[in-house]
Amino acid sequence: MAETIIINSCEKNMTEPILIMQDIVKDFPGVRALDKVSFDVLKGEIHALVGENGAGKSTLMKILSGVYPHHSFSGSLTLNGKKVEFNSTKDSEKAGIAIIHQELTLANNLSVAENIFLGDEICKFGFVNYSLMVSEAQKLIDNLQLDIDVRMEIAELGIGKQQLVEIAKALKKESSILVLDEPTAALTENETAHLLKLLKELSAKGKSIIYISHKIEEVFEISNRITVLRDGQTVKTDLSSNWNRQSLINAMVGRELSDMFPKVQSEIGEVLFEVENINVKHPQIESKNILSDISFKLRKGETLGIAGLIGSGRTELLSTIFGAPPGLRTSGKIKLEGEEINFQTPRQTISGGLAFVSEDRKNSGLVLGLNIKENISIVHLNDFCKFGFINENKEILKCEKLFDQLDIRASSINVLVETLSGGNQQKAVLGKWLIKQPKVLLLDEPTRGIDVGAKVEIYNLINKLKLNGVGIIVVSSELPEIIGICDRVLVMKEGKINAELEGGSITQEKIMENAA
Amino acid sequence: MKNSNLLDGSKVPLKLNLRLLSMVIILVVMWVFFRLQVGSFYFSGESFAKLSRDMVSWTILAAGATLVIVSGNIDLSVGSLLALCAATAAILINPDYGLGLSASIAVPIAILVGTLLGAFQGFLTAYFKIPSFIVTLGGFFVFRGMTQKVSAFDPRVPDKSWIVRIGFDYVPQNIGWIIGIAACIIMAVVLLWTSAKKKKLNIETLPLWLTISKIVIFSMIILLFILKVNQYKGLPYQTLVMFVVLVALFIISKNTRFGRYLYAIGGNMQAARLSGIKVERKIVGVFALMGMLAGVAGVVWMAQNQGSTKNAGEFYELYAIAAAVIGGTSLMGGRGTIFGTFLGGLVMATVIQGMDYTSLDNWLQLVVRGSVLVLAVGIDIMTKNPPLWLQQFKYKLSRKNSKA
Repeated sequence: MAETIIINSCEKNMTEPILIMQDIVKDFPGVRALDKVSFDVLKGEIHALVGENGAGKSTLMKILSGVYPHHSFSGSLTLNGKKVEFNSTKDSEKAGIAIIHQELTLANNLSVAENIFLGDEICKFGFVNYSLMVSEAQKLIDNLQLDIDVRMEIAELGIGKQQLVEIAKALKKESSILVLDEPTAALTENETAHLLKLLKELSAKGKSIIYISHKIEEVFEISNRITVLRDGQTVKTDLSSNWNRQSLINAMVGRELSDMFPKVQSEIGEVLFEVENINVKHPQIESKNILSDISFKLRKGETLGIAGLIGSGRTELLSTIFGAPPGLRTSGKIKLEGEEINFQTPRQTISGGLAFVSEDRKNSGLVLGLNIKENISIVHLNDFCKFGFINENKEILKCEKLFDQLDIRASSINVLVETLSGGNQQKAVLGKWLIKQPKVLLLDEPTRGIDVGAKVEIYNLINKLKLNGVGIIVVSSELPEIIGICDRVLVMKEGKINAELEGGSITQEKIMENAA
Repeated sequence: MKNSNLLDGSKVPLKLNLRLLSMVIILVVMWVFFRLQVGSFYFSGESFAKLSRDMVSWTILAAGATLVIVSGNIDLSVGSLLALCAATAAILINPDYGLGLSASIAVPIAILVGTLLGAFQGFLTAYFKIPSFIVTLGGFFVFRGMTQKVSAFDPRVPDKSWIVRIGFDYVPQNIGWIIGIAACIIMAVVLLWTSAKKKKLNIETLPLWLTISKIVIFSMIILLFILKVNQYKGLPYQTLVMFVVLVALFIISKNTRFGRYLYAIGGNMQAARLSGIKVERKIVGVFALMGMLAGVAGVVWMAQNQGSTKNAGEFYELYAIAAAVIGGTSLMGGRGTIFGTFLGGLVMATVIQGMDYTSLDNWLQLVVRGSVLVLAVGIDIMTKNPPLWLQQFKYKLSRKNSKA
């Protein structure tokens, strides 16, 4: 079904491919992440790699960078005509491949210069020559026409400049292939324009660039070729000029959106939940607010989406509502069914009837060292207890019921959650919050990093809850998801609600317009 | 999706059992070794009684330390706190320098002192976010200092006080048998009853033959132990205290909400908090429990020594942590069992006692003790979670072998 065209002969003005990845297959427990993916990069080209979340882009790049060592996958890597085997990220770095991850890997407490030379300090007899390092780093930064003082600490720079420092750091290593994973997700328009210009100049100088992005306009603006991945397979590689917006989206999605998001018409009832005038201070910067003047209402059976860029305060809003604000909350009220409830601690909001599926299931959702049963029962453990003693049988029976309902794929509820795949872990998180039906369900990136099948199951679950009159608030970075499942969308920007969209006005363009 | 993930987790319980099994094997090997070195005295009733007596104080501490470590904290103060509680009890009982109170009053006061001081350390850790390592390192010095003041005259406890019997006396042989048999019967009833109830509710459970062999094995161990110590003078009272504490903590860790919460907090504090657990209170609770056990251990120590001294229980915090860690408790929190810690304590006690018998030089004893600790934990980590270089080495080795 996948139609793969590897272009090297039909290219006119470009040379031989500098990198060829051939028939890459990578399995994770329960999921085949990559299925015979082939991918190549020519010298001096910008090759865009696109696809939905979970399509396999990051996995492919982790193979290229040696995060997954040579023997953990099958297929071959050819660099400059020679077969290579990377056993660690060091190996790939040495071979001239530099990856700039979506999550920045800078040391916040060190200066720009120190970061650029991290692990490669200019030393004599073990002593760092700081002044030489600063001047070298400044030269590099100036060459890139960046307006940054290299003596500043990383923490003092904005996220956009940090991203540019990361690129400078990669360039210092004289890499021939540069991989950028969603570099503009947190950048302003100006910063994005600057970055794209910089990348074009670099490619003109003969560097090859692999560019991963969700932003279709950017991809068309910058790339020579585009490869689309879907569900771990290469859909197609072709010149950018042969693609258009529609064909690209179709290739990425590969199915009608309506299949993916089985929408149900639920009765949207009276107002269930109200948030009034929430203000939360930034934990470090005294004068700044993470959330300012947030107020909104949620109705019974309604799905309310919260969209916005990373850092716009979406996640912070949910955790504040749930009683775990990231900074000092200076004002705000929440009302459930007309009655004000305390939200000092999660215990209070949970007793009120709220549930919160947090963004990062490994860091804040699950206790990885406990088994499925123990994770599911933890929120309402009281229900299984008498005088502080757990009634194990009662607990097992209830958890097994959820285990079956949610179709968690594991041999039993005694399996440790750390051995489950992402989708099944996410179902376990849902299980722990649905053990008792909440009145309001807060979902933060409910489908991040899980396979398509599990995604649809989660959407169906959301629909079922909707029909039962549960109010749902969803934060998601995946716009199709927001558009597909939400009745109403709030767009956040810099800690404020910038727009409210409803019905037909919920479009990708409208959301981006108000978010950026 | 694919059924490969169906198999992932099912091996885990087996792995855990393997781990405990390997500890038992280590113990048996050591026993055989020391038997050959020491001679027939090593397996005598007296030797068994002594072994079980010597491990009491710090195994009680180790059981508490297990829960503290499981909750993601550490307590370095327990040796000093033990000394302070011992001194408190002794000074309250001693008629010359102290108050001459009855032990029935002094002992609860000493345990209360331990509980309150433990709770206070927990309070500083939980609410002021001072790392428990620092708080209890402070406590380590503070409590030792207070001990020196309270125990200035190294108060003795008069012979007539009942508490002394805990340190020196033995349960009469026939009562020892009754206790042993009762323990076996209770265990059998509890295990069979839970198994039957599960079957009734259609919950998967261990096959009957496994449950029964479990009962038989543990009953045999218990009865053999009673038989052995009865050949000498009987079951030491302090050993009985230790077993009561161990069983209580075993139940707390396995069957109570508090215990479950400790594992959750130590495994992932953020997730625990977002699940509505009042993390701070539980941490105060576990430190209070630890303090209480330090009080109990202090009283036992006082009984063993018929009084207190300024340097009672020195290094016991480290013995306690060592026993817990040898028993499989993870210093990262979230993992560890009371049963494992008991085995860990037994390993430590065996090493210490065995070397005493073989009259090894003191300096060498310390070297061996330390090495056993590092070796036991090291082997565990290398088998469970080998570092990348070892994996690579193994991989290369296996490739070479397959080529050859």
